[in-house]
Amino acid sequence: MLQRFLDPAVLASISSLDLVAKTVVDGFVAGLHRSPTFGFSQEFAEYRQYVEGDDLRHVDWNVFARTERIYLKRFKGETNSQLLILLDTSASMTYTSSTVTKLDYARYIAASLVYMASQQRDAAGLIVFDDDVKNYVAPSTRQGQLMRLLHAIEKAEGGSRTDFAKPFFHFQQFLHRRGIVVVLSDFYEEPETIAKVIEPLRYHGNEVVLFHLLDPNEVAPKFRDPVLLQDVEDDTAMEVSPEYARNEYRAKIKHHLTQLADKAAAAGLEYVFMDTSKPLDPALRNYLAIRQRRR
Amino acid sequence: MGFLAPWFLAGAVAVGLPIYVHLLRQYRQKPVRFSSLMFFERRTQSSIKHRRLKYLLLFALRCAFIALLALAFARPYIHSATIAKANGGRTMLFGIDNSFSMRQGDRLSRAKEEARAEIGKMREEDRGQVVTFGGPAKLVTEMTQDKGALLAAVGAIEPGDDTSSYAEISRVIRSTAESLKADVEAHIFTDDQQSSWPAAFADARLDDGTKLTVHPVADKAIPNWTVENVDAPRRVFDTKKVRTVATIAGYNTQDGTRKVTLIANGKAIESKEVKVPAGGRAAVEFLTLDVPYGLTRCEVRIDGADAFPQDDHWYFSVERADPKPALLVHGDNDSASPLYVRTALESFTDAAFTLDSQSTQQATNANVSKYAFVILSDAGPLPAKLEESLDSYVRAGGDIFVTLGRNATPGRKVPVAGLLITSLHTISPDSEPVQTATRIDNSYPAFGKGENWDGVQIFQYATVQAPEGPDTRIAARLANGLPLFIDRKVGEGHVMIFASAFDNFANNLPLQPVWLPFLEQTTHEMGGVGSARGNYKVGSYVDLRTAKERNVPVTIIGPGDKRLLSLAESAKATTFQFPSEGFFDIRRDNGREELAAVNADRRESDFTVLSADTLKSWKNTGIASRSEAGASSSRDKRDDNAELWFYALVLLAILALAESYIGNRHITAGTGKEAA
Repeated sequence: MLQRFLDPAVLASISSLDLVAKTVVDGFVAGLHRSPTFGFSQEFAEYRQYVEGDDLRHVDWNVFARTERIYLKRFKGETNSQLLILLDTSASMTYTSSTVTKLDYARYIAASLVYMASQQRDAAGLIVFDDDVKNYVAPSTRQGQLMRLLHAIEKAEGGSRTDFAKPFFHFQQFLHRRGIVVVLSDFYEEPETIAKVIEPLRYHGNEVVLFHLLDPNEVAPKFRDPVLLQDVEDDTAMEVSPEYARNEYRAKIKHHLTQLADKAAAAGLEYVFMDTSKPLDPALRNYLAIRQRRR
Repeated sequence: MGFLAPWFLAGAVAVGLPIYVHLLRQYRQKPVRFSSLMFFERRTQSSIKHRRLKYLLLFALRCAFIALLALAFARPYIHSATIAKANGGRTMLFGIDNSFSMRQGDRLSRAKEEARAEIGKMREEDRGQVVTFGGPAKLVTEMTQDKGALLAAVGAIEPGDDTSSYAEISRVIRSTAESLKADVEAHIFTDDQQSSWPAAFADARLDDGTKLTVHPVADKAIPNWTVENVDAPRRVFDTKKVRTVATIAGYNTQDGTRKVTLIANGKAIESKEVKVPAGGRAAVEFLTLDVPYGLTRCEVRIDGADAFPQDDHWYFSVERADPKPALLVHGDNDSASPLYVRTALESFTDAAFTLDSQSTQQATNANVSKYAFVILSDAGPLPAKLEESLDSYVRAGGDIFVTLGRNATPGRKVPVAGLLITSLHTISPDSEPVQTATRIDNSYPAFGKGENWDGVQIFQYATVQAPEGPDTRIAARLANGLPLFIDRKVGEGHVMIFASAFDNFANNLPLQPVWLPFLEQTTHEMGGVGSARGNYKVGSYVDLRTAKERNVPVTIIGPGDKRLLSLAESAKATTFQFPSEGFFDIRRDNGREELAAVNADRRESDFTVLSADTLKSWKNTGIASRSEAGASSSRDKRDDNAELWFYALVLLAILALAESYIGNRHITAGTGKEAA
């Protein structure tokens, strides 16, 4: 039942993005409570004796009052994680064969992730790009950061064509602190180029996750008749036969996905394929898994 | 195959519409936006396939629909010759003339022989039919490929006494061609009599494609004498006053003298010689006809001494009877009308009636039923008993004639008829014009001979209220529009009312020439003398029953004492057609007997042959029409050819249904499943 709230088609009917994020995350967390494996929230971990240099904010003064010994209180979720979301808003992201575009789907994921990060007191930031950086919200844990991020995600509109090289060069300037970098894109580029452009993001000790968003009709197009297709990014048109779409195209896209996964793995990038007709929970699950791994 | 309205074929260019919809429009389809064409390739194969017709079947149906619609409007037809060819072989018609003239010599047997020879030439795939046209055309066989049946039918043809007509055989050929939608090859076996040729050439025309071959059994005229006609009274009341006139005619003959004999019941009564001019006519008069009482078979015969003795006689029948009594009731003050009527009746050649004239008072106790008819000549008010007797007499079928003169009383009704006399008017010549008879109905028996009534002046007349209706007929009126002659049906009989009197005071009718024929026709009609005919031509009809004799069985005994009616016909037949020459005794169970003398039409005695030009023109009607077929009107074409528009329409309906079904299926599939 809760899974239903992660269905993009259901989420599309919710107009407010913060409500979408809350619905997704709450639904997702409710599902997690039944799981013994994963933990989430500020769980108490241990007391540790104060050593010089420790932050006095974490001293448990109640224990000190009782015992006159200085102990620090440690929590499980306490890390210095930073989440940076790179949201691709190129024109190709506006494509859909149903009601939810790839951009909508990416918005839902982004909103859900920043909501989850804010719950975890992680610093979260956002970079919106197409062939250039369109918007940037610096990672922060300040009050009101969540609203700023959601607002920026909401404002993200489909732009022009995708060019990874240029914006990713700028991204490196924004990454001063190690954390998790999530890239939401349809990755219409050669896998080598993608891997080559994104790989430097790891150099600062970042965990990079590639969420590859594709519409089901992009993976397995179904044309009954010859059709004239027009590229939404550069407006070039091409006659396509159903036979080609059925055979060669599918083989090519499958090869592309495989290549991209391989290249990403080779470059130490986390790669997650997302079908926009499917629920969003794999994205959240992957994010939590990576975060868990970083502790 | 051709088209009656070929310009409609231009509508076939509308086939371009589905071509545009399926080919051109589809090719310039609206592009479908797709996220990236990174993995697509432009391929020639795809382009070619794209140009391929999308909905081949639908496209074909739509094209066929439009083409067929144009075709249907163009009204295609298949020429009858094509159909004939499709049926295989020729359609042949063998017309054999078995008219009266074919009895001459061996004409009929030669005609039959030649017909057999032609039938023998028929191919296996040919079909033929035998027709006789010695009178009304008779289809002797069905249209068949069985030569044996055709030969047997030809062998069974007997000579007839009727008249042949080339118009009749042409009509049969035309109707055969039209009904079978085929070109007919007609073979006519005849003696080429000119008299068989119709008055209007168009009556003998043949249809397109008809091939006519005339097989003449006579090539030149032969001289022939004949008794053309005999004028004799139907009934004989006084043998001393009978006048019989015979007309002797010669066709293609030299002048000569012929011996003419009057024969009654096989016994020669009188013979005379008559000189007949070359190729002309002469009349012979016999002034006595001494025949016994009853029906007598009479004949006028000539010593023909020619090649055709079958027409050297003329049959006629007479009936010897006593004159019938007629009653004339007149007013006491009227002595003129009995005189005029009696004189007129006695002057008639047949003297069929004897007049018994009585005054009104004298006739009080008269037994009117014994009279052939009764005339109430200005009789005035009748004694009640006499009026009663007359009423019964008329209702039983008798006829009375009422004249209204000075004794007519305004306010009283005409006896038996019951029509009111409203006034009696006497004209003052100084102050008003004399009345005349106008609007005379010549279809009424009393005025049937169309005599001139212009000289008749009427000075006194009664006004009778006579609304016209089914029982009341006004046969003549005065100049002022008032009825002059009224026929009122009462029961089974009639009351005839003359709105003036038969004297020289009320009018001058008895002094005018029209008086005798008027009275003769009127009295003959009333007395039932003029109603029966004695002489008929072969092929003519006789009425077997009057309205009163509806349930009376009739027997007809023809030549050779043969009974000619079956039991059913004897009880129900209303007419009978005389099939041959001779005497036909028509006997009714109510005792009424009639002896009909039937003679062949004497046009058959003229053996003048048809000119070669006429024959050629006749043959050419079919051939000429065929050569002009291209220029003939659409109407002609339509008549002669099998049109296909109906089949085209049926096919159109089927195509429309199929197009709707398949089109609907494509729409459903397109909206439901088609990506993009």
